[in-house]
Amino acid sequence: MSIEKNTNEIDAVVKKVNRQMSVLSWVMVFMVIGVLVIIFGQPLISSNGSLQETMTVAADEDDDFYEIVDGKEVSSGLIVGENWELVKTHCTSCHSAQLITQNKATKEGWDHTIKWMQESQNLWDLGDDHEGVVEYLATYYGPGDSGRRSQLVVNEWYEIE
Amino acid sequence: MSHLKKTNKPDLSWGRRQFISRSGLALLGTLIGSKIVNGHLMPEEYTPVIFDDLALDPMRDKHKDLVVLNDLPWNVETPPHLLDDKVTPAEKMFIRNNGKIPESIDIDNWKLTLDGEALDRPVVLSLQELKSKFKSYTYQLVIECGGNGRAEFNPPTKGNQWTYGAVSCARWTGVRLKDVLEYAGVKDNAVYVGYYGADKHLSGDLNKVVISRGIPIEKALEDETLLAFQMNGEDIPLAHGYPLRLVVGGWPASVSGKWLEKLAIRNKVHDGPKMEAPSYRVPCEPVEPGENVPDKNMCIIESMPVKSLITYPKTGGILKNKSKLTIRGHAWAGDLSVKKVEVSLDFGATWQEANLEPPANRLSWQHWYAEITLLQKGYYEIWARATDSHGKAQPMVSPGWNPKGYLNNTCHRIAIKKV
Repeated sequence: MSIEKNTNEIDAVVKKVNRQMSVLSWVMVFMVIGVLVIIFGQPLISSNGSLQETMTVAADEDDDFYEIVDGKEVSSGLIVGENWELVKTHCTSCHSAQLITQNKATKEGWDHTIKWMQESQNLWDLGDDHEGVVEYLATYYGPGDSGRRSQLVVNEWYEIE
Repeated sequence: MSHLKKTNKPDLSWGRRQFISRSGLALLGTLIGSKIVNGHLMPEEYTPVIFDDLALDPMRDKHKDLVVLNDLPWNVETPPHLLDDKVTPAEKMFIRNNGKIPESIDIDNWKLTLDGEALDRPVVLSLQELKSKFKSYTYQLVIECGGNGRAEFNPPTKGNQWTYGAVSCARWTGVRLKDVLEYAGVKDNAVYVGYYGADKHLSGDLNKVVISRGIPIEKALEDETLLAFQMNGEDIPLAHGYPLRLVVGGWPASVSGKWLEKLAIRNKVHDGPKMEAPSYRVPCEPVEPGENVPDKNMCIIESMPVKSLITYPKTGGILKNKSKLTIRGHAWAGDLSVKKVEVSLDFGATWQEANLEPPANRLSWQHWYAEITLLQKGYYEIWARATDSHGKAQPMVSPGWNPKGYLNNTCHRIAIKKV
């Protein structure tokens, strides 16, 4: 009994200490962010952003910050075109965007794929976004015509030893 | 497109509170530049570790030049020149997953259950029982994704766009499925063996089976069909099915069920997810490229077709001041063996026969090598084609188009220049 009581007490103390340290650490995080804001000023605050938004970016950079290079959003690799954010929202919570960017299909083909995911893979109804999603996919990830064999592509020529 | 998404996300099973509490502690440690004193004495649930799912990142143990086609679920392919080893090492083995890798494996309590219409009663075996009750065998077995080569189909077909490298031939050690079936008392009405594994569905729905395919009883009773617990003499890597995998050489890799927990001995063709059309099926009769094929006209893929790879040199090689080069690779042919490998330096106009070694065992790939001579300076393509023991060779253009892009066994080509 007394051992159990002791354990409970230790547990309570640990929880308390833990809570305090947790609070303390977050205070320190905000202090550090504050210092960074002072040092770097502009770059940390997005053009239309408040300080609060900047902190969100720092705490969870994957969700609220899009870096775009060569017309593609860096974290997903999606081509930035009309409705691309719909695709990011609806499609990348279950699977990575790589499953999209490596594929090519017609409007009909993408529509078919979405319906298959809804029927068998627990994808939700896209509602009003459906059309925009299909339109985007068929526009930026539509089929080309590569014939029955494509040209060999060599990324790097090197000398054979 | 080779951009790698950050993978060290926090374990989603944690509550937000817990996460903040843990990260707070560790963050504090980081900020003050030392460990939390006596942190190790805290009860388990307070262990100040933020990302304990690093082990779930299969790329941690992979060769850096493997190509990530998809990181949710993980699908990773091996460039042909990295398949040069006679026995494929774990770090160069492709990954094909349909769902999420299990987040925890309780090795001491891992059980394999056998049930189904063709057993009188279910049989449950622990890993230890499996290892001690039955004799172990080791075979080198080709495991190739049914969609290997999909990238070159036209019109394009959906799925991971594998080029050449969704194939491996490692040494698998385990017990024969036929011995276990006999022990379990399999009845005469057995038609198919279906597997169930511990992987989790992408949707997060824990009741949803990710994939449950299988093999006809005849294939299940072959000597080389294993319930494997080792790969290349070590525990099977987590990404490849630890702690137990059904390993079926020569058939689409999707029948080699990973993280194996259950085998259903069926009195009919197994009907688990991804057994149904159009998954892992091709048109029963040839179709025009792009044609819509009704599900009822799609047939299950069994043995994989004959195929070969040039694993040395890597494509893009420049030969300077010499004309001769010894090239090499592997060839395999599903349930059959390879009887001939030829190489061509002139787009298939003439062929030179390569030296071909016998397989290490049935269903292993076979090594080949050939000395070639490039007489003129200029650009060459080296093509390799294998012929199976029934006389079927690899085509030089993509073979029968099919809606899901399976079984593209066109000859492998590499580019070479002589200067």
